[in-house]
Amino acid sequence: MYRCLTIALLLTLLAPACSRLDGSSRWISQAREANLEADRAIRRGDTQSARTALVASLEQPVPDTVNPADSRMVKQDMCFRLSLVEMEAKRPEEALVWAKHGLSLGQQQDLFTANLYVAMGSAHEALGQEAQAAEAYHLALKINETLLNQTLENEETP
Amino acid sequence: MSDKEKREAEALARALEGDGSPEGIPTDALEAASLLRASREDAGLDPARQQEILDKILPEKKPRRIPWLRWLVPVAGVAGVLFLVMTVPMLSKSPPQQAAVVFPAPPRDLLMAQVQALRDRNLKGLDKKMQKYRGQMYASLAGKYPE
Repeated sequence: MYRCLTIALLLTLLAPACSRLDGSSRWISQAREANLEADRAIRRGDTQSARTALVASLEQPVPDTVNPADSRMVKQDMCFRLSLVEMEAKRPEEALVWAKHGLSLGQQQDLFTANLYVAMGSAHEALGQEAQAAEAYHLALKINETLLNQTLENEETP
Repeated sequence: MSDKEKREAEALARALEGDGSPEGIPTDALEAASLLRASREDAGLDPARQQEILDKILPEKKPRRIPWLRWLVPVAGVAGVLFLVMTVPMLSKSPPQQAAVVFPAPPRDLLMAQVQALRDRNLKGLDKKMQKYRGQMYASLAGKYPE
């Protein structure tokens, strides 16, 4: 009786610990799978399935073990894709929402932030909001210029 | 009643009262007198003696007491609490967080595709160019967070 209780107690305590250990890799895997599923759906023109796959992945809780900088880039890339999917489905309002949501996760001088500004500008433009579109494109270009300079410097460095 | 019988009756009465020597009383009458005396209320055993005799002759009536069992429950309880106090904080403490992955710098053609998307609003072209870089990104992440 006591032995059974001890084993049950140990399993109860160890199960969450084990799931915590492999949670990060599982989260990465499901994000990659969602992107591949979205690729397939977009190729066959099925924007609904692409949206469903990406949103489901985006809603997955990020394990504590994943560095916030990594999860930000993964999520921002998904928001960028969702924004494109909505633009493809002629839903610029939703496209703008996804672009803004992605930018709300944090902004850096990197490709993912620049992509979101591109998507944001495109959505604004489709909504007839020229000034906001120009501002978003400008911010995208500034980051793009910085990245391009870095890439060129790396290429020149032997 | 004869004189002899009268004397025996008087001796028996005295014996019943508990005084006097039981001389001249028939044995069977004396035994009967003893039983009568013993059946009286004041002739009973005192409660302590009764309990002692009961304890001796009725051991199965007493509750079984295992001396070490009395200590087992509190000791097991204290051990359980100590185990929880030591292990729960250890398990609930988050494992160390990985350092951020350093992704490969975006290639020049991808950055040019971004400029192209800004110029001709071709977002699909940009997404297509992103596929290769996205693959590299997930490969880097998988290397950093192995299964």
